[in-house]
Amino acid sequence: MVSAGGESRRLEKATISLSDCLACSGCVTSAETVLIEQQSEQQLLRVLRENAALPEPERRTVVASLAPAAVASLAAAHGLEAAAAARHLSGYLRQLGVQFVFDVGLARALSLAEAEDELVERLTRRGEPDAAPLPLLASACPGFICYAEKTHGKLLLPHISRVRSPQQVAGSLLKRRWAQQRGTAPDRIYHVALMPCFDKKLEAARDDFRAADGQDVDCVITPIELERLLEAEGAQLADAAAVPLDRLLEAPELLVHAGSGSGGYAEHVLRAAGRRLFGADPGPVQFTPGRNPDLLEAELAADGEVKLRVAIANGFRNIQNLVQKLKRRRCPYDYVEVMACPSGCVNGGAQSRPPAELDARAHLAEVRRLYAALPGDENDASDAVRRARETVSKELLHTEYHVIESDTGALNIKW
Amino acid sequence: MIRVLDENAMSRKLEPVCSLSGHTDRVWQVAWDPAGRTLASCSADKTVRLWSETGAGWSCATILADGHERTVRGVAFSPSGRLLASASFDSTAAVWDREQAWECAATLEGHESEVKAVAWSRSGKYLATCSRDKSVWLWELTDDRELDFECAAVLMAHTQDVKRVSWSPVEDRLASCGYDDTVRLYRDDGDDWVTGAVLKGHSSTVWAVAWDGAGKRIASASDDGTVRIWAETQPPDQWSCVALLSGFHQRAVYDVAWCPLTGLLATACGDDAVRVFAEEPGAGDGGAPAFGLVASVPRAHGRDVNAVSWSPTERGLLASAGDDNLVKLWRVSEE
Repeated sequence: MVSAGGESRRLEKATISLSDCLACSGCVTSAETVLIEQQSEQQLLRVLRENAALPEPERRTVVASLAPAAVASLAAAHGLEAAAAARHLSGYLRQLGVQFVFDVGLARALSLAEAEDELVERLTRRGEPDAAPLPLLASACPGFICYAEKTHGKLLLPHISRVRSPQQVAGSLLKRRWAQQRGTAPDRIYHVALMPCFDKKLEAARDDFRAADGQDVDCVITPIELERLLEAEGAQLADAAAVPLDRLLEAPELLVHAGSGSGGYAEHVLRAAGRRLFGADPGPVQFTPGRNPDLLEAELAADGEVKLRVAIANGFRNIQNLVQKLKRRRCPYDYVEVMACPSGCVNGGAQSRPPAELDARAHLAEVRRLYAALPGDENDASDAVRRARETVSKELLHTEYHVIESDTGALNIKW
Repeated sequence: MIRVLDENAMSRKLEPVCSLSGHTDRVWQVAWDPAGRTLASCSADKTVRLWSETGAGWSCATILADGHERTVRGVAFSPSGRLLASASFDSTAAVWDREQAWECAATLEGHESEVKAVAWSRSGKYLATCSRDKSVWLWELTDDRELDFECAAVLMAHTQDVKRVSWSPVEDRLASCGYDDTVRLYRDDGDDWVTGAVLKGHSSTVWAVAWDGAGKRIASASDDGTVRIWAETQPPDQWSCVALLSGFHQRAVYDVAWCPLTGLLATACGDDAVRVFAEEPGAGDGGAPAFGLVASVPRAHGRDVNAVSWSPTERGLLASAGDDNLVKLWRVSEE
């Protein structure tokens, strides 16, 4: 991981420390550290081993969902193209005992569609009494959510999108919709997600994502941990058979989206809101860098005036600046895609390390290229997306946040 | 080995100029404006005092109160002299504007705990702050008129409380030091600020760092009773310790100041003394620099001396701050 100070460090085991998460001390408590440590590649192996030892009728169905940033990272580290890497991962996970491997593409498409609706609603109702405030802030980054809940709850939470992240939408889809279709009880499904950072483990463990029959996502593992599994066997990712991924609810095997390597939120909502509210579609969005390379801005104009402004704000310094602008009511954006990691999810805290001889910057550029090159046409998927939205209840796509008072935060922080 | 101080054997004298009282609690730091006409001091009494010289001598011209809710731990003037920054245990830094009769023009929030120091970059573009939260923040002045600051970087290199930040006098390069016994250097690599060298050697907290006038060497003052001099052996990130001032201080060295006019080093010590060192070029092993003690005042303050600062315009004029609630001015006699 490259910290804000620019140092590269090898993380020895999956323990979170303050500097892995956002650059603040208010975020990770020792209780949460325990929650994170309970989700590891060792834990996954244990579950798979125990599952395999059971008689077949008693076994759980183990399913995996793969985030494109994690796939692109592993692809770059192993010199593979992204689709090939996804298939080798699919093969490798099945070797370990996972029965179904899905891309999160459909889940993310649902997230984006919900985010679009949410922004259109807020823009339409702007100025009305009790209207939800603008800017709307993306909710997909658990590092940001954690920070917002603990440090600026009252200020930020009303602005944060209520839409679940792709990881959690995948959990909802798998445990509620897909399980139902298969006639499997949700508690007979074990869902492991491959994600680019450790913060996603915190997200998976949230009470808001637990039903009586278990968490929507049981375990999050990351490229670093997957590399450890491979290393322990002396194996290369390409050694595993390339097995096509399963298709979730008739979505394509792999489904890319336009825009940033963090899910393309700002891009999607700008174009969608532009179309729906102003009849204008700017095509692929050109973002211009702001004060630093991790702050990107874009506008949509119609009838000769600027109608919408969106931004991508990556990294702690830009989160700080966003918070200050919100405090002073001087935020010029309608929507901000906020991500805790500089450069966004492609540079997530638990992504694979670059091969020794490669410059970190060049490696990141390669991860970005691979991410953008993932196949899957959004138009092909539109039927599947529409059907999924029609058959999944809104409750499963939305969530809530909680102000966490942490005056005594310093006392339970793991210094 | 503690060397016995014999004032009469010192080659120079540190003459008291005046003693400035007014603060009602320990004074933590003193800083000169670039014109050398205003001296700022900050205190556990939550205020900043500005002192200047009139016909009748030095006196308190202004008291900056109501800016902080707790101890003010550090102060620094901007390179233009128009702005004054203050660092407080209330977790904020404040910026005061001379052009608005020293009104508090901006409050920088974001640190999770006590802010220990502030420092302006030579270009005036950046203000650095450091905190017990282990981080160093860089703030960029984005609007000269509105005095808006934006966070330009959050540097998480230290593993403990960061005590001081200090910019090179010749370029926008930053040094910080702290409770993890190290000095760390930072520079802008184009996209973001990165950590360059880590200077290890002190066996306890490093309380202060100061650059020499040429921006090529750094002096660090430590709880271990020594001052270390570091030089850049291989730009940009290779540094090594080229001199060790050991055996002079009986307690923690809380501050070190390196005069760009004279090259003299002053130190503030927990043994209540202020000391001045001069470089003896090439007198060390293999032609390395060495520093000799040329003047000292054993009971400069009634208690710990917390800070020393050289006037930027008047040779040999030194300000000090102490736990005795006093600010004092001294003059080093010429050789």
